[in-house]
Amino acid sequence: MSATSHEQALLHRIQQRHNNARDAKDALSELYDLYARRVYSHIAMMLGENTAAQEVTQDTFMKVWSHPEQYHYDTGNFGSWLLTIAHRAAIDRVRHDKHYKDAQMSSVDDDDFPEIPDPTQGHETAWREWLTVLSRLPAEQRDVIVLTYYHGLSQSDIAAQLRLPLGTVKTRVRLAMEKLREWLRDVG
Amino acid sequence: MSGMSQEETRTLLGAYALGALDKSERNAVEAQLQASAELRAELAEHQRALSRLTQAEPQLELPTAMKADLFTRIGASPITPPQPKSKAGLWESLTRGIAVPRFALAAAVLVAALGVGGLGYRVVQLSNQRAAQRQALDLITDTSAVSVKLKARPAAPNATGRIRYKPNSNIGILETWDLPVLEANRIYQLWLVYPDNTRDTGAMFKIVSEDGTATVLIMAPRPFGTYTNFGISIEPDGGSPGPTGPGVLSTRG
Repeated sequence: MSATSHEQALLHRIQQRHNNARDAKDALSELYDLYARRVYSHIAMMLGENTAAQEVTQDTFMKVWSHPEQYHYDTGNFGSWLLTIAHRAAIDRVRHDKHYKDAQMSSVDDDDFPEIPDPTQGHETAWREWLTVLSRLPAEQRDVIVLTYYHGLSQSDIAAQLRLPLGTVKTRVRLAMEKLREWLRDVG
Repeated sequence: MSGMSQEETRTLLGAYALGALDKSERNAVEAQLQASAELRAELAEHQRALSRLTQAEPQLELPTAMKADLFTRIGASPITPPQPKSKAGLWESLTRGIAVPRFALAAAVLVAALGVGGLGYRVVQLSNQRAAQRQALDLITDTSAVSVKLKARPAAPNATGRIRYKPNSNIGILETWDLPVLEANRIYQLWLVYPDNTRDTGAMFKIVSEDGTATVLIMAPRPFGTYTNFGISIEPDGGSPGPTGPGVLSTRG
């Protein structure tokens, strides 16, 4: 997911949409083909495979279309930038839709991972990889990562819903992120 | 939360990357991020970790109509003119660099002040000099560089600007937006201000773009960390030993 000169060239063509809309659309189409599956998959992990996930995915690429100049090459990673846009758009959707909050909290008491959208058939290997990453974390840290990153809850939300001191939640989030970073350093 | 220390901010960066902070904390963290390249670099590590977690997610099949729907939406939305300003937006404030396409555009007005010492400056158009572009680009992509915002003064109330530099280096980049085009016998002069309020000239430049943008390579007499404030005033062509005309931008506002 690192930025390449090819992606930079595509973004540059999108920036020229005022002069050559057709070519800019072709460039966006290519970026879509490169990244849409990963973007949609992440959003669907948060919202479920539904119309909302499709809309937020489209919103993400609409933002690339409307504001390609907001990507700066010194961020170093186009994929991270795109996923951050997608993630924040999905969080906005979660926080404006009480339905999702209700769904989130119904699973918090489960001993296993909080509920996430069902994997479709044929993705067992990928699910194992994802679970393997998360399983490196102690259960209480794993839960706060899932609740924040995949269910869009704030630390305050988690503290209130789980009836934990806010400081405890903050500590768990901080330790979980430290472990994820350590793991990233290990795997390179 | 406005008085959050750098260390407090550091403990919240993971939650920030997750999107798990409340608004007041998020605002406080973003204020610290704007001021600290170190924190921005650490945030990037958190984001890379989450990106890696995301890569491990199962890949779902795309709904077949989604791409067509996207392009229908694009076709229905007007294409707005390019926006030269980049005042708002988290990523803008985090990265605050010059994007390569934008840099290429800005190169048309890239100037550099060469030499040191008050009126002895030569202002040289360097739009075609790749060495200057390379130097500027290196600074833009250097995560240890810091940026300071220049605030509008009454003489140019809509103007904005910023200076990007490394504290231990004499090289910096000035960017401005919405500065008025001046009369032929006037120039803008950048002042680098010492703690005792004495000044060096950092650059002299003219606005040649209708949108008031300029990207100026600064070669300061001393390392940038020596200076405590920056300001720009309107001066007679050729420059002044000290500010004589109205100020247009300043770190002091």
